[in-house]
Amino acid sequence: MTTHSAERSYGTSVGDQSTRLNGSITAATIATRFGILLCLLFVGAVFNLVSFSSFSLSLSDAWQALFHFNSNQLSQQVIRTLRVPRLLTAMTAGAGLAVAGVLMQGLTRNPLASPSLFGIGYGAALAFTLSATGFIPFLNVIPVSVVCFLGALITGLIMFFLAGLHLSRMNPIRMVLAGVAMNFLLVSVVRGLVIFADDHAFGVYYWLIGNISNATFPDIWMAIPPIFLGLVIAVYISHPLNLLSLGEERMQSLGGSLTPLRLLSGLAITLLTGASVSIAGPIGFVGLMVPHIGRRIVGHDHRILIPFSALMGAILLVFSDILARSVNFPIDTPIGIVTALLGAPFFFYLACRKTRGQ
Amino acid sequence: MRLMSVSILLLVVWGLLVGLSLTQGAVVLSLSDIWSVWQQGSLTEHFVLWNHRLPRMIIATSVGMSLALSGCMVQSVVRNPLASPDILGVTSAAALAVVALLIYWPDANVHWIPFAALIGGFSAAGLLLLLTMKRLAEPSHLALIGLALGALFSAVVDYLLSKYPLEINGAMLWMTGSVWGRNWSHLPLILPWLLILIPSAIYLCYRLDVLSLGQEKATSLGLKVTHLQVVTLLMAIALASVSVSVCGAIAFVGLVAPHIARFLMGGRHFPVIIIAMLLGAIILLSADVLARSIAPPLEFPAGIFVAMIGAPYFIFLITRYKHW
Repeated sequence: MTTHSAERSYGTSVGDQSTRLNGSITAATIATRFGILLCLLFVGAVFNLVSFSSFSLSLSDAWQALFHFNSNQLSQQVIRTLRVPRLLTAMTAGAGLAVAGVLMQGLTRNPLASPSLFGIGYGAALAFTLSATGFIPFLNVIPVSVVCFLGALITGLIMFFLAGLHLSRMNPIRMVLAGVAMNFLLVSVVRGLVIFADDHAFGVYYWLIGNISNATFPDIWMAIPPIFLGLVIAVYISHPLNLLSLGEERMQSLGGSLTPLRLLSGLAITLLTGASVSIAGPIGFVGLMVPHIGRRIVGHDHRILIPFSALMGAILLVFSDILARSVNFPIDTPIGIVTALLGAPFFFYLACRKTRGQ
Repeated sequence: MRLMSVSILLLVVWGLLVGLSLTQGAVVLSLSDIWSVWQQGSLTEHFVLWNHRLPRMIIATSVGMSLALSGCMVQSVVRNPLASPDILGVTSAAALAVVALLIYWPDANVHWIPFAALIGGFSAAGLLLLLTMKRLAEPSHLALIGLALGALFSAVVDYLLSKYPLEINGAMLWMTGSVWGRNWSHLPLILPWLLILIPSAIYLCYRLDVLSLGQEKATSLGLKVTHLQVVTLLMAIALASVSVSVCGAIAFVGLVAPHIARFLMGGRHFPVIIIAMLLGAIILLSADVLARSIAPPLEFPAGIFVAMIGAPYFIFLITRYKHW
């Protein structure tokens, strides 16, 4: 039932693929839209640096903190040591999660797929909890991002087979149910660990919702290389992903091979998710929302959709961070709650639309 | 005949677990202690047994039964053996109601919590039915919309918990599901429902058997399909909300128990329902015994152990299920 609808919505025949995938959007419109988004990101970033602070910060403070840093000024210190790493974390994690979502939806050809629905985020979270609570001693020595990456990798591998991605035909309901079970399992193990080590309970709980208020530079420098690598792989496989959107059989008849594509995108998804989770916690729904909005704006061509989604994911998290600080000012709400409150209705809308369409 | 032998076997297992459940825990009693308490009753042991262990055992048994029955009903309506009450969003709605009660009305008596959960569960169920009434023909849609509703409610729960962090521990314990600290006052919340709904489920068995032939065939055999689906769903939701209101959100019992039962008994609903209820009681009771005897005085929520047993089994099921 899904192969048909997917083919209907993802474009039709082979010869005019590049034009059909984009509909009537020309290169110039895409460039304009990119420009608009860049401006939006810039505005968001500046606003994020100075808004909703317990100290009053001004634009000139931000300017000076960035370019003429004076360590005696408290406001400049705040911007330099708290706000800038926070902003960078939001941008990197947003880009990583969004592109992971695009890859996942492209790979599974299921509009409801996303890293958080698949339990990959919680896999990384479980690894983090194991190392933070000290249950497995040698994990303390390894840097957090590596631990998270390992967790994401293991969960990703398990889910790959559970969701039936190794089969030539896969069933979307199987995928969703497998993801739900995996999430339940991981969440309850994490909760058990948290209850067992209850002196860290609150910190771990905050981290588990997705929280970027404690971002530091060393963490970010650890996370940027894997995210960059993941983005490069994503761009590299964007053409085969376009072929895949025509259907598994047609892709193979066009000479594309399925297994390397699945392996490479699996690797990219784990790199992106693991690194993002290691700095920001398992922020949900970014990977679900952004690809849908992106497809509405620039069309279905993955070569454009992937960089575009990276940009939009960054924008989404930058603005969510502003919201997170403002909804309950002066208390910092974890950013994952803001994305969940935005994303859950979106998921609901998608589920309704998907069921009405058939 | 097969039903008799399997249920006697399961009853024996259940009896053993009852023995363990009464004796194990922070204060370890021996069976002869229990006997002597029964005879005369020294102060502490009588207290432990009568006020803690016994009601706890009965509640674990009845919640396990009601979750398993609920799972049977959901699976026969959705006609997918991998469905479970957890995907209807009822659990998260109940959690939302309880967290809201804890936060906005902190003076409320603890006895109000189950009622709040019940109201939350039923409102979510009403919403779900309203949204899916026209789409019951393709039951997997029910699962998708239920999941989405669940995600929505959990998002709100997370928001409330981060805004009012004081309630985090209690709420977390409750959300994982625990039989800890349940006493006689919780029993009237669940027993009447079971007394009404178990016979009604047995009454519906035959119709559900017909429904399992497929919706067209069932209609042509004279069954009011939509009617039956709505009634069965309502029963399943009632059972799930009641269990949630007593024990918190315990996942996987409703999924695993009907499944093993079907594996043992075949496709007919009557034997499946009976065996599934026994299995549900056994699963929850053993999880509870494990949860409190693994590192005594410390108690884990039983829900964690249920998930740790249930999830791998579910994963095994997914890989074995052939009808995708």
